Amino acid sequence: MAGHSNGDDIRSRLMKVVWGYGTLIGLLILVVVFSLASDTFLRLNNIVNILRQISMLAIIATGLTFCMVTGDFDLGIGSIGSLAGVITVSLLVKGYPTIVGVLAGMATAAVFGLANAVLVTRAGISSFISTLAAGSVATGVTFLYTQGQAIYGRMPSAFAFIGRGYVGPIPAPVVLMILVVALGEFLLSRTRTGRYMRAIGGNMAAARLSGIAIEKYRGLGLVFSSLGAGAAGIILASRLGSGQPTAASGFFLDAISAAFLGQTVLRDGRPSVIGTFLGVLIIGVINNGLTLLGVSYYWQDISKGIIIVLAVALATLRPRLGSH
Amino acid sequence: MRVTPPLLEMQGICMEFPGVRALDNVDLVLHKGEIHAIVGENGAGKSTLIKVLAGAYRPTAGRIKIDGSEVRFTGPRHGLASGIGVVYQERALVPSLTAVDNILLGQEPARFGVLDQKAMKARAREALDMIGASVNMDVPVAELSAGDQQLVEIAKIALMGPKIMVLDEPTAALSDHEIESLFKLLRRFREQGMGILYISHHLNEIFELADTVTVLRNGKVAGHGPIQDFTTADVIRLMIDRDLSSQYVKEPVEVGPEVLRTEGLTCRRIGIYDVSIIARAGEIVGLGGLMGSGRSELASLLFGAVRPDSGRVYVDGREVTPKSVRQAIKAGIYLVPEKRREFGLVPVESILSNITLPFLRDFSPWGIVGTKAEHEPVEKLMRELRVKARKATDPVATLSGGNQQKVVVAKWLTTKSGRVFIFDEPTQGIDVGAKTEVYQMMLNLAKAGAAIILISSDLRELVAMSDRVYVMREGRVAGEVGGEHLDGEAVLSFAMGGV
Repeated sequence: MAGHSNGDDIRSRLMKVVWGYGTLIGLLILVVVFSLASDTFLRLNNIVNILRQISMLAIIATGLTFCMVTGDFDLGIGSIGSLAGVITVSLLVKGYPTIVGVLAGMATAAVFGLANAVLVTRAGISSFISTLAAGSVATGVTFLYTQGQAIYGRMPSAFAFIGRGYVGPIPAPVVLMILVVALGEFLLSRTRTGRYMRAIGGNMAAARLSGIAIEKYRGLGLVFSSLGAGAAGIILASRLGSGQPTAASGFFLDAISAAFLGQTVLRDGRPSVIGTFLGVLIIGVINNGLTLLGVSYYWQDISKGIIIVLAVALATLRPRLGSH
Repeated sequence: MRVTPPLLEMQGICMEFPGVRALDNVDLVLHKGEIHAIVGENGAGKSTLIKVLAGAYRPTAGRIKIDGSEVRFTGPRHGLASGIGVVYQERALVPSLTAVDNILLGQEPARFGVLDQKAMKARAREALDMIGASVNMDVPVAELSAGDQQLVEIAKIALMGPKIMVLDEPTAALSDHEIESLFKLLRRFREQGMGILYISHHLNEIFELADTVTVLRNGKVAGHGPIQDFTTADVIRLMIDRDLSSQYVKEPVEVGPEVLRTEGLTCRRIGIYDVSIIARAGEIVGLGGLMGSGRSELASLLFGAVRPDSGRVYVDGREVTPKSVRQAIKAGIYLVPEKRREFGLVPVESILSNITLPFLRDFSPWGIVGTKAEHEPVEKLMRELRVKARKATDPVATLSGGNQQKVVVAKWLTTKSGRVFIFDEPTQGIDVGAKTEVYQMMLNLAKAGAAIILISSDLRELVAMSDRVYVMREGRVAGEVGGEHLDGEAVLSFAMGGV
């Protein structure tokens, strides 16, 4: 240590900042690059646009984060989101009020979350398998219910507001996103429930030997994950003004990517709501920026994949490089 | 006078790990046609010695000669190439493969990369014949009995034609009948001129089988020679370390009424049978026994982590028999588990959230954590226990081993309702200063009227800190020693069943 020159010291400190805030720095670099490459990128209405585009992704990814915190995973969120949207729309088209449709959609999602919770915590099935199966069942139910057709019809204006309305200058889905993310962050970092969930994810054996009801909180994580999917699916249905059988399926990969990117934010590499939100922002900025630059949709997928692998690889290297 | 050099000669072997000298100047000589027993307490250096021989560890000093010429091992395969075959305590078989596949694993005869099934079977048959064993070769080894699995493992080693065979606790899972066959086999190997190193806790086996014995203690050779020069009592005496330093903090505490009582506690799944013990207020009750004797398993029953098949647990005269950890905690039974990083702590979480984890309800008004209601009592407790940390919100993983252990204990000190405190290997891997502080904590709890159960593999610690010791063997209480009879010899005799 004593032999280190001043330059080395500055460099090591710089490295610490890069490793510590690498994901955030990556986001800033993306923003700078896109704002130089496109003059519309930084315009207010584009920023509002980005926020609206990411709002549903942020909600579904926040839910997913909760089940990842306890060490589980949810592969069914895309399908469950679609089903929730379809159920809601179908009821509204039949003339039920908005509140009934939305609650029915959310309840459907909750049923799938509870089924996962029971299968994982009582039957001891891995959450990978359980949620994969749940997703498959949800897809099947959706297609049986809709016969593969999109559901259209007259719907209450209150429902249209969820996805297309504005609160002042802010789109309603963005308001919902802010509420969900803020509530999620509070729940995870400042409440007893969140503390228990993090303890379970950090060391399940130690949590059990501290008397924590593991089953309850792992189950809760899986239910939150499904509820996030349901909410995102319903908002999407409102934006689209119809119930599409595969509408929310596309969220699945982006949500997982966002959560993984989010894990690279914290030093200890654990999931967090804020981290996931940062991951969502990165994905939103990439999608939006590449679209503005006229890059083909297929290239967007490829570049997203590469960026995610790079970010996670760097985060994995971090502890090893940072240790000396 | 021997003209030929010994088969194996280890001279001045030292093996150092950071902070520990596991082997200290160990000499060992093994001749052709000799069964040489190695005995010692837990942690005396037996396993390290085997690993050095197998080439898994490179000794920090010393020489190993085979047939008179020095060898230097560069890896586990090298040990085998030099003629040393090791049958490890943990089975090294692949459970889902057949005996044939296991015996030939890594040396399969193949043509153009395609396994030659016929040749494999013939080779395996040959190996099993060589050791005079007949086992079913067509089913996964997981379906074989423990004895047959052992034979498969020995056949695997025998096929490589070793000059020296090392067996580490080979009888641990075997029935009496299987042990008898194993001994026959080993005697045959001896007649064929093989040298055998036999590691076992069972003194009666050693006296039945071995020609010579080496006793290890604290990584040093405490005694060696022909087996007929020793009695069981001699061996036990040699195993025990008499260096009683003053690191133990023990004061007489007035013993009060009975706090914990178990009656016929039995759980076949984890191998605990008919355990009836009591512990009184102010008493430190030790649980002695060798590794695998069921001490930690008993702790997990008392703590509700495993449900008993039958039997009862009483606290302060009230039946509580916990069916879950939560019930045990509610009854005032608290566990400081072994291997703190694995079972005691959530390493990535803060010191604060680790300490309040079991009784978080008391520190989270309206379900909110991280408020003054949590910080103040925790910081006070950290000062009392002298947990050396920058701040309470640092990850617990950043603390030293001793301070981590204090945090594990602190988890149970945030309430005053503890009646029974189980300390499982509480001083493992922590420095002397921290050890003393942990002993002091135990003593303070005893003084406050709790009953303490101490599980320790460190015989000196167990004897110095306990008022009474229950010695466990094979999941049962093999004996109880206390008062003036409480010493290392007594505990070890019960533990090894050598009396």
